[in-house]
Amino acid sequence: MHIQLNGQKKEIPEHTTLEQLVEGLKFNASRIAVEINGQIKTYDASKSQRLCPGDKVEIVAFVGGG
Amino acid sequence: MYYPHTERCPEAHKLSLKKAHVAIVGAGGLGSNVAMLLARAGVGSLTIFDFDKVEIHNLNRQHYFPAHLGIPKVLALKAQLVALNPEITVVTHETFVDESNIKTLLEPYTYIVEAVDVAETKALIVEQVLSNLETAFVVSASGMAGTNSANTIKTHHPLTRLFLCGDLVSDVGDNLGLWPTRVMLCAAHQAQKILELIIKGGQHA
Repeated sequence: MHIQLNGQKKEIPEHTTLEQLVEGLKFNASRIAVEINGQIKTYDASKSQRLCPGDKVEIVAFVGGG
Repeated sequence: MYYPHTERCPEAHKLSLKKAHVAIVGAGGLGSNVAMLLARAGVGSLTIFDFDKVEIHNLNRQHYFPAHLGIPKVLALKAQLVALNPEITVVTHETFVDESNIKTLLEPYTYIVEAVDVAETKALIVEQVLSNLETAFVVSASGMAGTNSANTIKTHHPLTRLFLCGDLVSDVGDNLGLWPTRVMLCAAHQAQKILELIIKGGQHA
């Protein structure tokens, strides 16, 4: 199925969870914020959510320094 | 007494700036410089959160002087902000913002500057604020280490109520160092976005 990941079309297997997507993309889960279809929830609360065709997923990864 | 901070500001914006109250989490390289810029621009009230004292290695990029060494950053910064703009109200919290207190501490604010240095804390602040406080905007920063061109520092808008300033990739953890120029560029991007949000009343795409 297709989702929109950070504005780009992406093919992922059916029933993929957010956590599987994040791990597959090699993101460090403690350094990200995620929005699904314009709704932001904490990653811990949404990581087991199964993604649906057409979902718009935005993943922001942070780096250190300030 | 004459205070010049909004002298060059259009009349219509002066009241919006004066009424605005901005929260700044972190008073290091980003937060101290953001605070000074917002005070210069005539923002009426700032609340600043930081747990650290000024140390010698802060002086290359943070808005402190040798006379401030050993003083809590929030107090050293407040003294400078009030000296610059005697009309400003500055509330200080010598507090580390974490998962246990973030919602309570930041609930009153619409405009929140994320200005900490650790990537995990940045992520925590952004996701906790945006998921718990439905009307808050966060102006965050990520990627200002190293010596790349100033033109790589930009303001991004990745999530509905999140603006993210920086080059998004230059991690201080990669031993790139932190130059005052790039840190201050990033702080200026953050302060500019806060001013835009205040002037436009949050009606910003």
